[in-house]
Amino acid sequence: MKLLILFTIVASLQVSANGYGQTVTLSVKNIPLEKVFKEVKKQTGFSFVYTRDQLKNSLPVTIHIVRAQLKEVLSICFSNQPLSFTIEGNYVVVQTKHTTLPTILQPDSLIDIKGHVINENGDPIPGATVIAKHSNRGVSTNSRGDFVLQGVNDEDILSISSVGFYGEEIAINKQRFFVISLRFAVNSLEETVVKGYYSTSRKLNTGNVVKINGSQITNQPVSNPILGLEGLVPGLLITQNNGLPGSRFKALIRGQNSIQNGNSPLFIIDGVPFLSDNDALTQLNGMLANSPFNSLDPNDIESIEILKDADATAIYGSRGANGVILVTTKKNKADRNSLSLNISHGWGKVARTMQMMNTQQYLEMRKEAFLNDGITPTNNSAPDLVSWDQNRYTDWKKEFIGGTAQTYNAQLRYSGGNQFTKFSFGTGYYKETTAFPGDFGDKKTTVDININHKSTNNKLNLNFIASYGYDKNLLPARDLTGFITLPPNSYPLKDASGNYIWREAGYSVGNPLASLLQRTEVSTDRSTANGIITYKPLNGLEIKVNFGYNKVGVNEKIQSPIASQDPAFAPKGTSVLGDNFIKTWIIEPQVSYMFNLNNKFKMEMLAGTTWQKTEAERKLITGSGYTNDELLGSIAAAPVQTATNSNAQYNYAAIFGRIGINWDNKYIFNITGRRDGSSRFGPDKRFANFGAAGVGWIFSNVSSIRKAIPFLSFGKLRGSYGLTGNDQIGNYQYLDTYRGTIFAYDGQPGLTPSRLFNSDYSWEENKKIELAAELGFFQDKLTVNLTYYKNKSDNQIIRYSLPTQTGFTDVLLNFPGVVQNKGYEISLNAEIIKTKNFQWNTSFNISHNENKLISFPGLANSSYASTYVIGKPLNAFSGLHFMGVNPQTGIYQFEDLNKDGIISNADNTYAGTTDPKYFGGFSNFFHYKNFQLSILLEFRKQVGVDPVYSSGSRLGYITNQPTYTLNRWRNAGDIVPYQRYTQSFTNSAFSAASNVSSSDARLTDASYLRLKNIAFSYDFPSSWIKKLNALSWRIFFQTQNLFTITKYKGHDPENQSLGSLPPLRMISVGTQINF
Amino acid sequence: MELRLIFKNRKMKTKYFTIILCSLLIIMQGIIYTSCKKFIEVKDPNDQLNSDKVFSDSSSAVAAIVGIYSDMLTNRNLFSNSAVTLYGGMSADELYSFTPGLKDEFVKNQITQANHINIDNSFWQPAFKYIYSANLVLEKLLASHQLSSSLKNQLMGEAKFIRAFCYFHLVNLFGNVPLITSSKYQDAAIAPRASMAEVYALIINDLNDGKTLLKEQYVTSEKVRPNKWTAAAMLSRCYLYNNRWQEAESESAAIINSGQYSLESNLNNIFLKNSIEAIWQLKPVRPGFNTYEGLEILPASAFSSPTYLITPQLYNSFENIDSRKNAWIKSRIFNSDTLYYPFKYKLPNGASLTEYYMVFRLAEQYLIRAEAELNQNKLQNAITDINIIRNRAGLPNTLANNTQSLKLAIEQERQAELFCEWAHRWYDLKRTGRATDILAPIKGATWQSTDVLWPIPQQEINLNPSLTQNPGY
Repeated sequence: MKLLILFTIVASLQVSANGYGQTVTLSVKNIPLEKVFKEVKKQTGFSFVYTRDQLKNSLPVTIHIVRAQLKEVLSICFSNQPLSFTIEGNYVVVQTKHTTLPTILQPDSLIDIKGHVINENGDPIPGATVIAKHSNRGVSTNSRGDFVLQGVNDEDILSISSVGFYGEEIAINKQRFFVISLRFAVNSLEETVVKGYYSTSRKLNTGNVVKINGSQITNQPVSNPILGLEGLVPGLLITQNNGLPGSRFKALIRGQNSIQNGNSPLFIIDGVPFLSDNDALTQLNGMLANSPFNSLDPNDIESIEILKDADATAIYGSRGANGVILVTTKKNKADRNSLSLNISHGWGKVARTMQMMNTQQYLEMRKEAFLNDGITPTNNSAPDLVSWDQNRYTDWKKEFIGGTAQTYNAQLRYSGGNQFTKFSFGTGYYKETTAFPGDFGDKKTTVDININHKSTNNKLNLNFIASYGYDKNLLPARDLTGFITLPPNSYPLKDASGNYIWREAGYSVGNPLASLLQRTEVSTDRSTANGIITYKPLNGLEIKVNFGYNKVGVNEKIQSPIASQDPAFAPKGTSVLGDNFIKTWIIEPQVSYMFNLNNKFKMEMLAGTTWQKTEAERKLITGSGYTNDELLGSIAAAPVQTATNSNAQYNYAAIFGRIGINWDNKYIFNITGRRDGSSRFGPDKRFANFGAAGVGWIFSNVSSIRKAIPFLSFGKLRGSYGLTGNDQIGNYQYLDTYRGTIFAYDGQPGLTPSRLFNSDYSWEENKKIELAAELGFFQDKLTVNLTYYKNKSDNQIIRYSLPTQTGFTDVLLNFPGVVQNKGYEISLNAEIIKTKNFQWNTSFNISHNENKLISFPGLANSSYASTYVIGKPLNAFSGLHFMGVNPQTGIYQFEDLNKDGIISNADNTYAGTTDPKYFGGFSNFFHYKNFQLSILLEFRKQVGVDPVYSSGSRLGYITNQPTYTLNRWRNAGDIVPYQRYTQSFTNSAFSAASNVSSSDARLTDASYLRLKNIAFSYDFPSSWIKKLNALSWRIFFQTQNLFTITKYKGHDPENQSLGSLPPLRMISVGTQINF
Repeated sequence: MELRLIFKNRKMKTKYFTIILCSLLIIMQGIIYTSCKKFIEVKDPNDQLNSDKVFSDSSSAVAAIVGIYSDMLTNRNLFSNSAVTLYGGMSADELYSFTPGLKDEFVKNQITQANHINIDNSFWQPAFKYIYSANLVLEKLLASHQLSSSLKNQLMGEAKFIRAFCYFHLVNLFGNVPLITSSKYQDAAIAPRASMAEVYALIINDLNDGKTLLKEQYVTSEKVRPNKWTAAAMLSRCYLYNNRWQEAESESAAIINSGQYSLESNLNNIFLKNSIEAIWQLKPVRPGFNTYEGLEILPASAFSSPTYLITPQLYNSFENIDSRKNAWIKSRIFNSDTLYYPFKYKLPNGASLTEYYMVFRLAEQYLIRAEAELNQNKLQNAITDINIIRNRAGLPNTLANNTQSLKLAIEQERQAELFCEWAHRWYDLKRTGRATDILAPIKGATWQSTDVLWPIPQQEINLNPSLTQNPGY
């Protein structure tokens, strides 16, 4: 509160100081024209568009003028020059005056050409410079991206350049109309980065913000835009849960800060907080296939910014501890009408699985198990050996997860408008089927509209975005991947007439195909509306109000028909209907002021407030006891009905501010702060303050340093320190309440105490420190960022375990446990080759994070004693020390650490963590004439969960195993990784198999290098396109997860799950055309 | 000159504008500051009710008590929902698991730190949860002024009864246990174990209060919430367990003579709902199911085996013509073996609810009275009471006629009548000091005399260092 008052007072005092204005005060004598431009730019903010060549013949300027209009000043400066100028928006475009033409050219060979310059998204680029190289004629594009260049030679070459883009050169070659697409220069230091409520350039940024452009995501055939970030962002670890359409993911920025509570970053889409992926939208579906982000279309995304350090995240206060991910959707910047169409089709197959035993190998295992145990198999204990066909073989893996998933993707976008009002309308459709048998899959439809209006005097700007997404996810109730361990000679699942077979010789292993009749249908509706009103009453002063609304509604239907269940148990049908609505609205009034003192001192100030309300409501209705599958659709027809519902409200209010100071482009200071109030805490603990300070020193702007290191084109050291918080604990935890029991008793509804009541907990606090160097070499052809950070999370909110004699197992309280994450991130961008026809850019990033539990008072006597180890990562695994298979007995053996003669929990020791040691990505971009190729490699160095040891798989039982487990102990003296086969439930091999799952053998190398993405595209030459009346036409070919190099023995080293579908290998082809 | 003037005016204008704007902003902040606190107030969620509100209204206050019964029956394997019967039965000589090796820790009395998770989850945790709920109800009722005194009495009586019921099983399974009589978790978390005598003092006190507070009539048309006789039934059992023979006799006699209950002649009808013999039944809550005990024990399908089997010792202990052997035990041939399983409850599920979970029934009161009479040397009275139970089972009068033989006759009769019901056999063997005599030959080397008490769950000791472990663990 005080902060805002301070801001407004400062603002009122500084009203008379010079902001950017259109008036110029200049008193110079005989200085080069270029210096005048720079000075004028400083005073007015107007940029000059010119080439050095143009100024070659310019004359020095002498002028004395006080508070004159820009145009007046420029007229004086240009009066004797061989140049003229025009003012376009905020640009002053310098043009060479037509004087004499080179004599070698015949006047009749001169032509006029027109053109349109756009970026990769098809949006126009205003202010781009277009120069005919031979004649040195140049113009710049207007606000629509159009240009007209008169009197150039047919043989000439056009050179097109713009700040923030890679330049292009095109031979005129008798063409009269050009559409030139410029690619984003990813390592450009001038690129704008958004830090939530304000933006800055990469050059002047004091915090850690990584920006990913939409094209980097649309290059990848993913339906969930967040999954496209994998491998691109240092410090951001994204792990896909499975290969099902709509898969959820885990996103972790710089490690796990909170012992128990949410570690999810704050997601904000166009200014409105969105759900995190951890928010359980579905109430029943355990397949983790309903990411709320799946209702977004990757093609609608302009950029995604990832905010990591305190300087960038402290303005988000209590919600910023785990980092912030800002998603910005596409907005129309052009005022010409355009239509863009994008269509693609893809195919996906499970990329990596384990080779399972065939019938012969499997039966060999089973027989050996019985032989080892000295037991004769009977039909009761081994139908597979006694009664079932010994030659029958079914490849269950192929049967259940061997299918090809298909994707269909189409987007249409129409944009238009005029100088003042622009709009864009887009719609998309996406369908993805699964690798399972049967008609399952995910369909989504998205629609968005975006309108921007500005007043004629440029003071008022209105922006409105509305978008809607509908996603329908139809999946089997169970992931079939878990069934690939059925005995390979098991009975067929259907008989000749199509009836399900449930058992053979009285023995049942179930029927996975019948379980496909249990369908989970989840529909997700997402509506987002966002309006921004910006008013600039004065130069430098901006008043802005952001209104946002977001609603996600999820509707679930899960049915278990009688036909899907084993008839021997006289099953009944069940039908479940679930609803879940989450609504958020937000209003954020803001005021910012910017002023410039003597061009040496620039200051930006921002103050604002946030008002946010989130309401959630869920219902779950179950009908059971159906005796007729036809009635499953009707809950009223269910003999037994139960229903539960709940609602929650989360209110949040805050005031935030920022002061940014730039001293001569050398020293940059940034101070941000926020005071937060959240309803998630007890009445006395609701408010807290957060803040951060960032400092940057651009030492390359110090002339002595610049001279000393000539190849250094940019150098910045920056650091930040600050405090952020985490309030991801769910609502109402402080209330002293009763809740309804699940069942009524004797017809009377019951109440039961909800929890032990403690209203005294407050935020988790996360202190972040970061130091970084950002360097550019050889005119920024090579840029290197080095970052070191250390985050300490304190005041942990945990469900503190209590002895249950208190009535409950825990109580929520703040606990003085400290978790530290420290690490480094290195990223490197290089423009390796840049010639007229060929370009090669490469970028590389690597991150290392070390998570450590610094302190946890009373750990040894808490229920966490076996979960956490002081000084080790939170994600620590302690277990027995595995000593391989005893060559004599053929049984797994473990170290008796405490030498008490028995192997028990007391012998556990810290074994390791599945947190990656380091991870990153390596991407290359090639551009040859009209061909473009980008290749993204992703890597992780990590240990993971061994599929055989971790599951306690008992080799020899009636489940199939991977073929490598054939490498088992048979005879005394064998040195092998797997113990003797057994089928017993009581012998020592049985207990050794369960011990091995809690031993360090559980952990195995799961490092990998994955060819994450290849995107190849070809742009048809403009001469062809012209016939179509199109602006551009591109065809593309993309692959995802093409191959993975790993020693990991399970399905996939990323999700490491045995029971869930591994991520798919996708191949997709498509075309994009712009009119 | 003119230009400058215009310029100046414009600048003045904007200056005033800005000043006005900023003043407005400052005023706004005052409003914001006061409204901030208000803004983040939230309404209580609709699926939760503030504790104080619960006890300001009669129907929600009743729901707070009824909720405990519902909790007691919601999940399988709670001590109040089959676990005492099954695990107590295995610890004694009544039951074993069909799956070889499964639950051997109970069958062989080899409970260790690693395998006793059931003890925590099925017994310790739920019992203390209901004790907490009962304590909270008692405290909130005392503080509430909106409820009628008759309702308050009824609910307090039930809360005290529930607390006594939970402590009865805790003290019999674990021996000394922490005595928690308040809802304050800060105190409860560090409470040490109280002696069995202290615990029984609380139980008996609660039950005597319960007898005063509860009415003779049930509050509803069924016998699913305790009345005065329910408190008396448990009280007579507690007196019996504490060798307070005279009090035990008078409590059981009062119930028998109340005229409210009589023995059901058809053995197959005893465990039906509202059986005339029932003193208190828990009414199953999960729609579509009858008792959990039925669900746990009976075979799931024509292809399935029963889950729990009756031991040969129990099966052979019946006299051949005992009709209880046929009515309450069933067999199935599985894999050429004949498997015997309890059949007191005959339904695993079913759309209509016909069987309630029997907690107290009149037959036990006859056996309590017989034992109490015997110990007061009223031999003839004891023989009469034993014969009432024997005759109903189609057996002739007992031949026992002296104190020693009558003691064994009562032990035998309790086994035959109350087998696989609420661990009667396990508790009887312990309280009569006969556990080692009887169990050591059956269980073999794995039996130790310290096995009469289960271990205190290690996790609880970890969390409350003032708890001590039972000997032998």
